[in-house]
Amino acid sequence: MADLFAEALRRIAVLDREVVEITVRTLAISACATLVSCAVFVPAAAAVHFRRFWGKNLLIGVVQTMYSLPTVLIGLLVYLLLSRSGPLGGLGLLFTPEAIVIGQALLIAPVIMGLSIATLQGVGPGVRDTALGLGASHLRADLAVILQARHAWATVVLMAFGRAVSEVGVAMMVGGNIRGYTRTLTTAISLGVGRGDNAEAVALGIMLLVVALAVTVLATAAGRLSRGA
Amino acid sequence: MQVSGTVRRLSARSAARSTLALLVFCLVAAPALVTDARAQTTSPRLRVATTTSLYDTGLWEALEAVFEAETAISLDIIYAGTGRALEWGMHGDVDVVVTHSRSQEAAFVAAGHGVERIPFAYNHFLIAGPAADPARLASLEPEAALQALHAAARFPFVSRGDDSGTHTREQALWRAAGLDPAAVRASGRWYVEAGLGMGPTLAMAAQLGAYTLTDVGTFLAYRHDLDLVPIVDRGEALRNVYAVIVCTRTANSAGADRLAAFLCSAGGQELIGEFGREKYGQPLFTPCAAAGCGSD
Amino acid sequence: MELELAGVHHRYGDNQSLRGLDLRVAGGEVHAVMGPTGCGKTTALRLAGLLARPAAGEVRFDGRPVPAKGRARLGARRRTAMVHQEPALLRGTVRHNVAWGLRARGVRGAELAARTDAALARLQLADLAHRNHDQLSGGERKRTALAAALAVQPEILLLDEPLSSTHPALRQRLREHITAINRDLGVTILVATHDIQDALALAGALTVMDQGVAVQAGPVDEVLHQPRCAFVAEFAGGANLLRVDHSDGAVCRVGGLAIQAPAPLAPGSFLSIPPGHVLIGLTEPVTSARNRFQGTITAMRPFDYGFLVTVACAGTPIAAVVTRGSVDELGLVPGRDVWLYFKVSAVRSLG
Repeated sequence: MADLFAEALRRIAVLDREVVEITVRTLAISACATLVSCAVFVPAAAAVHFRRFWGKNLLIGVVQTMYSLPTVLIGLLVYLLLSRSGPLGGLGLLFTPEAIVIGQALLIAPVIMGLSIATLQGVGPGVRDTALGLGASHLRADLAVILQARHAWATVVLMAFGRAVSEVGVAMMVGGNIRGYTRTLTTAISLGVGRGDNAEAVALGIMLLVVALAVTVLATAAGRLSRGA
Repeated sequence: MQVSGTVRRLSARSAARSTLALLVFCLVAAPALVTDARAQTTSPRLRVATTTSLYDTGLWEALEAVFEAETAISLDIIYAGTGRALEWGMHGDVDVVVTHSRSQEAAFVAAGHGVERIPFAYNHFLIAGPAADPARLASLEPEAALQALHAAARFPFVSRGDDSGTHTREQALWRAAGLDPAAVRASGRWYVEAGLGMGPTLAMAAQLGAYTLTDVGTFLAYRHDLDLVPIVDRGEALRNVYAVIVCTRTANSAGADRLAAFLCSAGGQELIGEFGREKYGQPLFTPCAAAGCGSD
Repeated sequence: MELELAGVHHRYGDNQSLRGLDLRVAGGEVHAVMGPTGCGKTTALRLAGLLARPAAGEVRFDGRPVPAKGRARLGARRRTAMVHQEPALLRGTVRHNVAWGLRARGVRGAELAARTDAALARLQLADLAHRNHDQLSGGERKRTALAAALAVQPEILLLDEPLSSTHPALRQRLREHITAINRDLGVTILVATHDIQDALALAGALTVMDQGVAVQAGPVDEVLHQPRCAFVAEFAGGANLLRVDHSDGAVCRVGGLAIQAPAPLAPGSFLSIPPGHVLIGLTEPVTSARNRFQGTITAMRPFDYGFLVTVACAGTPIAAVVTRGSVDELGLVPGRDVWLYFKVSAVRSLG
């Protein structure tokens, strides 16, 4: 085991061009997916949380159940969507990095939505009442609640990013692990494992953790900055 | 008091604004970051589906470099089990398929998904097993070896259990041995269905001290790490023929035809024939586009 | 602004919280709506602040029904400002909170600063303006919420239990702030409270609620001293509610006492003697009051402008309101034997 890690670290130290390229791509794809998904599903969560409607609790339950969806299954569903013989085939998106962004965005959507609703529920009804009592419009009052939970949003984004960057099922199925084009850290690890190149797999795994660590530190710092405000 | 509050508010607001700008930049720039320069050529991309075992040999990296230099066509090599690779071809998600399963390929072409099946190289499968060879299979023909395993029903055998070329060959061998593959699957705990790629399957076989059917490329790649030796590696039944098929639904038939031509060309064939010498000590493939690849 | 809730009904889930409530607040007055927990005071306030819609009935500002929806309704809502019980402050400094309502209305720059400063000054928060919301004491939070409501210059201020869970010194300060707001700025104020002391201290008019309806409304004195039913009398506290055992003509037997009432009362009914009409003396009184009893002071507690002195007369407790001056002059202390007397006309019959 020890020589395995030694070899892995040696490969990282050499800073192979391909490893760097794969790492940057992984970060860009997952960051993109996280941003896109947040942009859509945080407002969706707010819409669900702030309104009363029949089936609201059922919807929330379904969203939370979908946390457990296997990534390979979602990969398959997105593949069927984007395949040439599928409904969105004309877009020619399959086996491109954009496909992975779409797939991962869909994968993390339940996490974002569920955690966002929980975050908003954690704020409590007092803040909205205060805002309304001071003459805010309903939308402005909703925004006040969202802002009240400021530092909690960093956690939501982090968790979503973590799930996106660590998954392999979607990237494999809709990306194809094409060298120089759609290869990410996770699919490269998978390939390394399949080929028996364990040192490569471990090296890439360490890179993945470094990426995750960097993002965590950034988000925590951002959270601390906003808490001061 | 008021001034410092204003200052803090200002800096919070400008911090928020710059974060927003950064986000927008990322959203716009990310797709650009996401592909490398090489991939951003204006020429259309050619998508090739191949099998995992072929991909794992590393042959495609060698072929890609030469082909892209010669033709300026960007190759996207995607791999999966034979079944999945052919499905991609059927859907039109890839332009060319290169696999090693004659029956499935013939069905593919017959169903109209492929233009023509063009064999271009072969190697062979082998039955690997523990050095001690408890089942005494070493001197047997493949069919006889399988019959012996089935009859004894106590020496473990690990099967791919997926839709791969290797697995398809394994089932063909059982049939050639006069046995029904489904019956063999159900005949006892000695038969282990792994559902894994070839590499992990070999690892499992080594762990269990079991026999398994493998392609020579993967076997050579793993040989140093595992206690498996070739047990049965002779016989026409073990010939493993690779073929290239241009998919009928391709949007890039010009590029697809060029790839097929390349694989069968003198240059391509030579490259294929030499491949593996430094990595494995012996060439991995026998090119056969000209001479014919025999019946398998 | 004149506010009216006309026959409003409201329901929370299965709970019918308002059943035809009528509430009228005259312009410029401080009006208390009072009742036990669960009577619907908070709901009434929310409806007045247009934070909820009644299932039936109307909410009227200056005699006109409020708009049903859209920008017009928002405009109407902005004529009010509400401070909730245990107000939640927004993330940020005191100044941020106080300015929030103004900012939400698009006020900026010099006007924003000026109005914020004015509100901060009025509630004596100028020194705390930069303090963060999570570094404030309970009293500071209440004052901040009040300043925020004030900053938007509402025509009517809605306060839900503003003095609840406050210690006496803070309570006094807040009472003064609220009274000053009404006096200096002419803002109509509607206060929900369950404490009669607060109602007495703050309000000029009072509406008593029970189980979603108004039971009695009018000037504070009138409601408290002329309760129309047992509930109001009880709730007003110190009502001297007594049950008639039987009566001999106009003389009612209550426990060991014979009380003379203006008219015969049925056995089992209640009579009430407003404590403000009860007098205490050290010697047997020689007055026209027909009802005079001897007793011992059992309890004294601060009440309104003086003390509520409870005297046990032949086992029956009767309370009187006595000024501080008189308490001192007469040397009234618990355990002292005194005479208690009141006129026949002070005896009210209740259902």
